[in-house]
Amino acid sequence: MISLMIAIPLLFAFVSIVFKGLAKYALPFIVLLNILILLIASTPVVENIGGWKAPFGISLVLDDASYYVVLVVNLIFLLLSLIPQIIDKGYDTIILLLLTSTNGLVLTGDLFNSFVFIEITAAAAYILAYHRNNPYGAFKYLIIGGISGSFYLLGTIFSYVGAGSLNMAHISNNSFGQLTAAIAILFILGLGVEAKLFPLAGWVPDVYASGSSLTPTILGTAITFAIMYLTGRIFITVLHGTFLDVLYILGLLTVIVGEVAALRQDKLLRALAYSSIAQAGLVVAAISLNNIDSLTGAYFHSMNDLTAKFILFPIATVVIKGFEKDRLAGFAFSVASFSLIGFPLFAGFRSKLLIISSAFSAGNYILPAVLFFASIVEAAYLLKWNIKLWFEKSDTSNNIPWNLKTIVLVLSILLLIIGIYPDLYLDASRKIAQSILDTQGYINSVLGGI
Amino acid sequence: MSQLLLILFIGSFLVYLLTRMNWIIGVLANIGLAIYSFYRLFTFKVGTSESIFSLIVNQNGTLVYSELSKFFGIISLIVAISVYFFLINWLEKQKNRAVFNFFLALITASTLGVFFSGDLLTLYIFWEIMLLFSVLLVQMGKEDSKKAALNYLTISLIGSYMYLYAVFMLWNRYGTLVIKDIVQKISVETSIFKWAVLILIAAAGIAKSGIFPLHTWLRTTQGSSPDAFSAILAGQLEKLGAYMLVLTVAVFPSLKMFPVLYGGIPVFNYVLIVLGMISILIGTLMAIKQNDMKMLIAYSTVSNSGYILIGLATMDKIGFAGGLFHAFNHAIASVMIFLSFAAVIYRTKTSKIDEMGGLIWKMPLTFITYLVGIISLAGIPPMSGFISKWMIFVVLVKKGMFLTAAAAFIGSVGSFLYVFRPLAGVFLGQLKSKHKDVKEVPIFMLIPMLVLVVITVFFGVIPGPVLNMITAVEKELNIQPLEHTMTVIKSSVGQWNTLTVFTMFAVGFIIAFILYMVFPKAKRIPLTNQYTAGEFLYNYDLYHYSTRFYAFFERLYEKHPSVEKLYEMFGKFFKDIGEFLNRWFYSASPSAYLLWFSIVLLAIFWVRW
Repeated sequence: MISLMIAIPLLFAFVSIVFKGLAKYALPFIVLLNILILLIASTPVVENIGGWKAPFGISLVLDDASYYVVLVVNLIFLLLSLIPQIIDKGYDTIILLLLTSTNGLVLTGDLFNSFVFIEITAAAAYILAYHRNNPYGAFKYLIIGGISGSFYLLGTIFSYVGAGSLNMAHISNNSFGQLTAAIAILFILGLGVEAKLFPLAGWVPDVYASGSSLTPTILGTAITFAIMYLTGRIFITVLHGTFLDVLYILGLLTVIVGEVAALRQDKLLRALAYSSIAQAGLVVAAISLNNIDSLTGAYFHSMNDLTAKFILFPIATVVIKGFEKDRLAGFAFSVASFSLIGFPLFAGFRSKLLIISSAFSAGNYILPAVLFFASIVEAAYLLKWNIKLWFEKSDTSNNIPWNLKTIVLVLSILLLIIGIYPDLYLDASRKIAQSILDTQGYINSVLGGI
Repeated sequence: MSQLLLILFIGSFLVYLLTRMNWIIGVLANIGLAIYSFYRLFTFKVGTSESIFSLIVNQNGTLVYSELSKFFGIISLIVAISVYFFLINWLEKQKNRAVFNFFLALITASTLGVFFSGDLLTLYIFWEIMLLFSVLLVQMGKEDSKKAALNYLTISLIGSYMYLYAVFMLWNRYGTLVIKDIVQKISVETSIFKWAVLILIAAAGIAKSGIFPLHTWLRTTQGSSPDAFSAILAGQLEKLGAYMLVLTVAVFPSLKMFPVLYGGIPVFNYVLIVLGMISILIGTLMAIKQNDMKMLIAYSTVSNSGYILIGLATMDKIGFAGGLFHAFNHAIASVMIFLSFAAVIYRTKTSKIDEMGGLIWKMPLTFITYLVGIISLAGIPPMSGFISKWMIFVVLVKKGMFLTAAAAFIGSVGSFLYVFRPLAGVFLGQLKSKHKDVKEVPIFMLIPMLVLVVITVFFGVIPGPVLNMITAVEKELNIQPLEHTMTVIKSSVGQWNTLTVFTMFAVGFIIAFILYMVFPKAKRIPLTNQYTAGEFLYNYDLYHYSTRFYAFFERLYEKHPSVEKLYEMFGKFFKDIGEFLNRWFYSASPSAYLLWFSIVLLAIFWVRW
């Protein structure tokens, strides 16, 4: 059943090459079908492709973690499909392909398979990066993405050598001895580029800030969330938390560097791209603390971040002058930025609070300090943009389409609701965290107690 | 209490809707809410506590009503109500009235929330709500208020995040955030922990009340924010800083936590006193230099916050009471001053001292408000500002803290210099020809100003009611209560009878008045004749000396080091780093990306293999 979630979008992606324009109308229904499949599925589901038993064949795993991540990813695609204006002609196939690979990335229980899906995701992302005529940004992304992909593959090969298997659960069940270090380093380099870690991921601002509203809206939300899931899964479930300290340092560096670099930007989109980098760094750093609260906080924060970014990026590309004529869009924009900064009453506050308290309980006094520093810088530049956009004189309205306006408004109200009543996101992220930490449960459900 | 806060928060949305329909009704609704909560403050029983929503596991938010919250709540509501009255006429000239009113109502609600908070996290939440909406209000002012708002936001956030850090340190150590429980446990901690926690908590109060080294936001923020909001900022929001300082020195038992130094003052408080001293000096010296009257009073706020801090930090029965009373007086006086400035700006459209003059002829009642305000602020009897300053002086002399006392006296003398400058420049002297048609401000702007005049004079003569509240606070915080009656304050170096002093002043005034009536009337001459001795006047605008008023004095410290410039340097430094990162890591070519990639690879291999 769950393999349909990969198969159907892929099928339609092929069909849409011949029947141009079909994908645009098919996308909402495909995503709805995916969500329907998710709703009737009960976790954990393990599906072995081709009937090969777990350690030998490719298996798709739908446990609590991947369930919620896939759900979030598909909901984002659903929202995206409701604003078809921003999907230019010819890019609908890419969106379907991206949906395929992201679903596959999250669902797969096989390392090599995940490499394939990462490469498809990356390939689709290169093409998306070209959107609105941004060849140099796409080229830079292509080069560094290709290298990181080969490192990911190398990591996969090393773990095959070490554990004799490509199945994540099986690898997790075996130990590699001396190879562990090599595997972990290769995966850090492989995932770091996609997870926007400093100094591996220089591509982000150039790709996100090309002026396209499609590219950052989808890459900065759904794909980022899927990559964050994969980071947790590989480093905690499969590698049992080795080398998390390296991730921790890189994450903290990314937070500081991202925020400081955003301070100087005179372009809003570029500033938001840096903010995206910094938030990713924060999530990685929180994941690397490797306990239930910090993981919950990390995924909770990631969800808040992607909700806010889904508001900020589309508005930032559309709004040129100011909010004088688009007060509702302005309201959504402000709520999203306040949530990102972490003011009380808004969603971001709850997740930052959770991350901070978990860091303190783990005896970590550095992460909160970095987080506070980052929040101050973030507040300075985001408020600067808010004030500028609200009070700049403009006589013309920005032509924000009504469906985009509705969606950002609903999302901003969602951010307010989460700020007061966080259980909706919190439960999901706690389930993700629990299931990622529960290595034995994962192994049992995939291998069936071999 | 949670009920009152709920009413206020929901009511502020109502205020927004009403103001959208008709802004006068909106202002009236706002006044109604403030008066209602003022009434409710007296109905609550001291010591009641309620629990509200929970934010982190095993930790309910609590509200506690104490004497301290009552005292500060009353101050902030008096300020709010008088400013709201002022708005009935003033708001007409403000853009975005609905949002303005809405934010004001939210700020009052969250300010009360801060005073009611029984645990540190609830306090933080209300604090941040207040901060966010006050930033959004500040930037509704003049052109440069946008930058000022960011400045204000950054420095306030530095303070409040330091506070939050301390909150989590305490939570991690004790598993509770209720202030009452923490206070009991903390006195046996290691000294490093105690120092860290208290300095971090004090930082929020230092940033908010404008104590050195976090005072730099005050000048631009108060100078450029909307004129009526400057009054709220000085009277209501900066007193939150004073509240936080009370929390640091008195609610956390600094006497028990730290070894006692010279004069029976804990070491930690000594550090604060030094900061207060520096603030007094900086505030006074910088205020003397300002040409913008709002910025001038902004610096005087720095210096007065220094007095409040010194008074509180002495932890002496007179000093502490003096600090609290000075918080009260400064709130009232600065609101009077800022409202009279707002009235002047309402009519003349400028805040530059050297662009005005002689407004006493046109706006006599505004002048009286300003006069009484500065008399109280500078600490001249018989206004209430004198009493609190006297109490602080008494304790400094009694404890033999001569350096601090010297700073306080210099600040007091300096305050005569700087408050005289707007007096001479704006109200006295030659009326500018362009202000010939200026009228007194409308009635609803006058009412709150004159009511505040009455309050100041009244508490100057009979300080008893305020002192009663203060002694109740002192009893609650285990400080020996101040000995006083309705008009007499007793101290070990003598007592002060306000009624006698007032009678002396009154008698002097009456004698002068009788003399004025008895002697022949002076001949009325045109104003300009004073400058030219009756000669023909060629150029009207030249004869009023107000530009670089204290040039002779300013020259003494022209090349002073400036913290403001230091912070600007920091800001520029971070921006330059950002530019560097952008150029070397993010905007680089693909080959540079590869270089960084391999450097990371090698670094990890080298460190971890």
